[in-house]
Amino acid sequence: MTLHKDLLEQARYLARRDKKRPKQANLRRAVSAAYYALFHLLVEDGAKAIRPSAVRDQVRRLYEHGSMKAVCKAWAQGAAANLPASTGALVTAPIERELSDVASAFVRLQNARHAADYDLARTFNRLYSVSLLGAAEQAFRDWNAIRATPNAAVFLASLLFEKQWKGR
Amino acid sequence: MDDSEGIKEQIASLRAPTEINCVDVEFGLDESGEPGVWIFLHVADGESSAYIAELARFARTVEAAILDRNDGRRWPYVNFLSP
Repeated sequence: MTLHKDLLEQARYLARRDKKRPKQANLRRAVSAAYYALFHLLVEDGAKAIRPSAVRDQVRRLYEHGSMKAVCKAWAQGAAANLPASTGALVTAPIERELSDVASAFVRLQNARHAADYDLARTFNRLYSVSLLGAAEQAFRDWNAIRATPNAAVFLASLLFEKQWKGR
Repeated sequence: MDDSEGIKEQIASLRAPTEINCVDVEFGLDESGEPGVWIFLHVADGESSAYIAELARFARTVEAAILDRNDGRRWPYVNFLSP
């Protein structure tokens, strides 16, 4: 198993662990694990594209959550016109629905992860956590369907380099 | 558009996979400091894969409708709550 698959499995376990009165800690950690599962899935595929393999650990550490979310907001809107011009020029239209859905799930899950870890005013119930887990599971399936496409490669590159591209 | 009633009306016009008992709308800034709108849809409890998948698809439908409504100025965070 890889880290992203293990995290998704952990999210499944925690979300359904308590049969009657789910503990807030378990529901919150389930949401957090679901987000990190998707995060590490994308980081892993992004790093795999880099040669030689010896530098991949360094590449993995370059991914920034905030930058990735900003990039995903643009891709989630499903049209090259919503992307920065430098990225849009690399995209083959139309953007696959699965790809924009993955980006959307990333935005949603990152926000929920933040609430899970820091917003104690919010009560998490099981449906809330399970539906977010479902979003992560669907994102895994969607990613699997389009991960070999040219647009997925551009998406992975933009997750890492968009900030630098914008500055040029 | 910070119009919670308008957002609720828009959601009511969409075809939901289950009855929506109540909609809560909150405006604020997200963890990136950017404007967001949190939409909590109160629906029947359920854990089947099919039900969860339908909710996920509906979340995307709502998200697209609200993004279109506010020209992307506030990111819609759609969440489901059960009783």
